[in-house]
Amino acid sequence: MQQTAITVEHITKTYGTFKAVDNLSFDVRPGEIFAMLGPNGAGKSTTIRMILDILRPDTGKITVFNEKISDELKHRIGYLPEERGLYREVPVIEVMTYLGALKGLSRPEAKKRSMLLLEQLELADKAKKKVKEFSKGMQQKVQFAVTILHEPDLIIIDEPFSGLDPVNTQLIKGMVKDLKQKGTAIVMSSHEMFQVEEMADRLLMVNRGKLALYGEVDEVRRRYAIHGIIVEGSGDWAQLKGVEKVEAASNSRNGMFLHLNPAISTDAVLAEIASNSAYHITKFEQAVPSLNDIFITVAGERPEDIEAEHKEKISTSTNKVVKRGLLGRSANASTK
Amino acid sequence: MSKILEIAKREYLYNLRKPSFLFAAFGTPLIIIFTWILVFAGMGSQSEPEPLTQVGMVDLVGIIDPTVTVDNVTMTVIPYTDEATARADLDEKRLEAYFVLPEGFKTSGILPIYSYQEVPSSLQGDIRRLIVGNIRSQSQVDMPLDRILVPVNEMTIQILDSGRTINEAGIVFTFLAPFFFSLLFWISMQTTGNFLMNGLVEEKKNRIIEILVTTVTPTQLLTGKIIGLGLLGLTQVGLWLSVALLAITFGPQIEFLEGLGNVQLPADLIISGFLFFGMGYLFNASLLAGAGVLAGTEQQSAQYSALILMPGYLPPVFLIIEFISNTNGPTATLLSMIPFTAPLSMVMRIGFGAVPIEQILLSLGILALSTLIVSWASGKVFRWGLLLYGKKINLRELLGVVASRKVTYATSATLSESGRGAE
Repeated sequence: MQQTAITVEHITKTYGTFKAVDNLSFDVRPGEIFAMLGPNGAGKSTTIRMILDILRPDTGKITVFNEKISDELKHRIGYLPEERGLYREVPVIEVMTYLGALKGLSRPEAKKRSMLLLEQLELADKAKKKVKEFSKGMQQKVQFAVTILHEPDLIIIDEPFSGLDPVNTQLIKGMVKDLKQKGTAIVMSSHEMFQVEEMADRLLMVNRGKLALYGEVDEVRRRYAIHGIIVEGSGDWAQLKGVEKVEAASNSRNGMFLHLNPAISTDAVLAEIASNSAYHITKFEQAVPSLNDIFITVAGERPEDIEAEHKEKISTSTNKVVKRGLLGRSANASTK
Repeated sequence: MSKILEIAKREYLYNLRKPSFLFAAFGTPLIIIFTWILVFAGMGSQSEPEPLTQVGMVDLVGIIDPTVTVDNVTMTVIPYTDEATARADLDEKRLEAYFVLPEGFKTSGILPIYSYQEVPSSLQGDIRRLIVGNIRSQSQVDMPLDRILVPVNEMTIQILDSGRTINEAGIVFTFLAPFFFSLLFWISMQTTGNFLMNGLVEEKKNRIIEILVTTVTPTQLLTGKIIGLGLLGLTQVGLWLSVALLAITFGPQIEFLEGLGNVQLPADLIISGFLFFGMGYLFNASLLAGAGVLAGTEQQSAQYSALILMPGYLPPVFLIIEFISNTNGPTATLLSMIPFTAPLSMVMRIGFGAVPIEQILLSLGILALSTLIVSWASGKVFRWGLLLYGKKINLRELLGVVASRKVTYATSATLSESGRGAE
């Protein structure tokens, strides 16, 4: 049997009447970057928490490295939660050493590795500074370092690049790719699909707790490839031979998205534009669907709309809890 | 186990360096010592009685020769051959005090002074000079060398009117010492309990708890914290006790701190202090940990802490007079049986008077059992609430958690949708 980093089989998690995760199955393999995508509230974090044994699935089975999760196995996992933080009043190197020691490293070893990582992250000169003196981006880098400090075989990062500037995003992406080279299994979960789509080998798209799409990123792109081109320039595109429909392109400010007749090749369209003086182009591009586009195709709704709906649901349920709380009870009692 | 120790070590070292700990550890005893110095200095200057003139002497070992005159002795020494006659003259007020050189004085150097009134410190100086002068005048002395060098090892002053063996100023300190002693233990317990609670609030607030729960179990986390902070409390108490014992030992040698010689911290008081407050710490720390995971802010945790700790502190402190005057009365006895008030009440009682041993054991038993129950229930709430942020929890929900057989982490999602997080 092939060793998998994570195997998830038919897991379901219900909160009251709300199915947060609904019959989800997938696996994550060593040496791959696995993207877990979907709008906020789709069930990604719940799934991760079930993998980490913080929550128990109602039904279904999860194994990590082909075993049921245990305390020993947790040492082989590095987890960067979506909601994250560090001890603010403590020097960075001490926080890292402490967390490393909790992960089973000896203190000197934890300190040595921490310094190495801080050097890689260009923070070595600030090792003795307190966490609270760090900018948000620097703290994020330290948190990433803590995640990989004990050289885990499986890394799970929830929203890896939120709050990072482009330079640091590239820095972290580089380190993630290095880890992949070393055979580490990497799970990256994000609601911003563009953040991870260029890095991921395989992906899992979740919507409303259900599996929406699962497979190799390249294969998924091919499967959902659209026969079309994106052009910028001038001319009456609707009249161009082979064009069936014209739309404003979503990912190009001035561009138009031309849906082509299946019978015509993109080369033929390009030749037609070049030979016809009524058209002038400054850009010509094969249309490749973004993961966001694919999500819309698969789910039949836009991630932003789902998230807005989710947000509203959270705020109403929070109100409910507040009303049920101590204050509400005593208020009721006094009006009786 | 290594994780628990790692957590304990961190909690200990992190909180040890906190300014609030340093203040509590050094500031509190300094303030108390300063107050005491003022009190003692004031008492010393007010209460030094007039020098005595008529002092009886019962020399049962034949050191003093009444014909020898010794310089700088202002009192008139009236020799007696037996203690009964001296006592009769003291009762008849023909003497102001008498002292005895008892059998075995030559080796023990212990000399009791008897009086119905407070004796001035000058009397002890006079007696000392009298004995040294007499020894010096003799050609042959059959005493061990160290006794010849320091003939009077210890003078005990016995005030006869009520059978107490301490002088009047000392009575105040006999009661003050156990009170302050218990209070210091309490302060230490409160300080460390609050550190535990605030630490949890901090870990939840900055979300490092999310990383901790995937690294250690809630039990490991809680146990580590309780051990680390317990050791911190012991350090604090140890420090205070050393200062107190140093003050009691060396204080009386400083002129205006002589009153400290009357302060006693007997071993049984110290042992019961550690026992009751050690157990009390576990009891309160469990409660505070449970409340700590439910508190969203420092303010809220301060409220919870006050709610949990004040009931244990206020009744014994406000009823201090009842404790002193009626140490084994119903109020003091009842308060020393209730787990919340037991540590402070029982240790104060033990300091003030003789408490029946079966009561001490019963109280300790009740406290231990309550600690077990509370830590069991609190442990469930702790696990349940560790990943909950800023949710208001009602009492029924909490009872549901405690009653449930198996508890898992609750999250805002599990709670907002279903209203219960326990399986």
